Amino acid sequence: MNILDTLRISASGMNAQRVRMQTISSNIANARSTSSHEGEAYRRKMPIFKSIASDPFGNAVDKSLARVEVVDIEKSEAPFRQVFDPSHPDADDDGYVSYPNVDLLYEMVDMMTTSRTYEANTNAVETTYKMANLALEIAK
Amino acid sequence: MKIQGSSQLPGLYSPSSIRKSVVVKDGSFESKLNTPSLSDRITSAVRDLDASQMRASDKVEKLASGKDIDIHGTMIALQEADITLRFATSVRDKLLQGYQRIMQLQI
Repeated sequence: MNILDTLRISASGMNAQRVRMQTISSNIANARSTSSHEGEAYRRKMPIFKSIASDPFGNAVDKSLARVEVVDIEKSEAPFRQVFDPSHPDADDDGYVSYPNVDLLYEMVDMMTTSRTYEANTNAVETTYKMANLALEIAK
Repeated sequence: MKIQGSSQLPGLYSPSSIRKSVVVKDGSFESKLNTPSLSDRITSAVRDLDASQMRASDKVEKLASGKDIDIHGTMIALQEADITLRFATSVRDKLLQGYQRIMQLQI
């Protein structure tokens, strides 16, 4: 495990948070989309993260270190919000329109944790860089 | 230890038998011959350095042309290139320092 691998692990973390931010922006943008290509109202999306050994053939320390990867983007199965509006083109036979199961409050909180986690990863990169520079100072 | 062949005891301490015993001990005399020399190592290090520079410039190019907007990936590649370059230059400085020390020896 060299110092550049450490940077790559942080990069994978930032990548994961970027994908998470993309799903959040998709959720917010589609908070009132009553139809989609899937035939129903938009369903809230959430990324699934998996930790993957960054060097499965390395020594004991290398094997236990892991980077993160986005393996899938799941759809939330929570029920839709039903609103009575018979004049809406997407209303069902009873006059109810299914609105997406997106709660803006949750999305906002998710957005805050995403940005903080991204920030933490950039801090990890910065500290790694500083440590490498300190090591280079020894030779001077 | 295959040093019984030399009947005289003093032979045990002759340079050749010492070398022999070393060969027997780790059994990798050939692999020792095949280990890369310092200049080979430096060449491969320079090649790695070049690769990291190329990676960084490739990323910057992609970012600038809008093909692949991977901001943090590009920044990390730049930092990687920076660290490896600085490491290489400080190793070179040290080597040159050693060379100059030796050249300044009074004969």
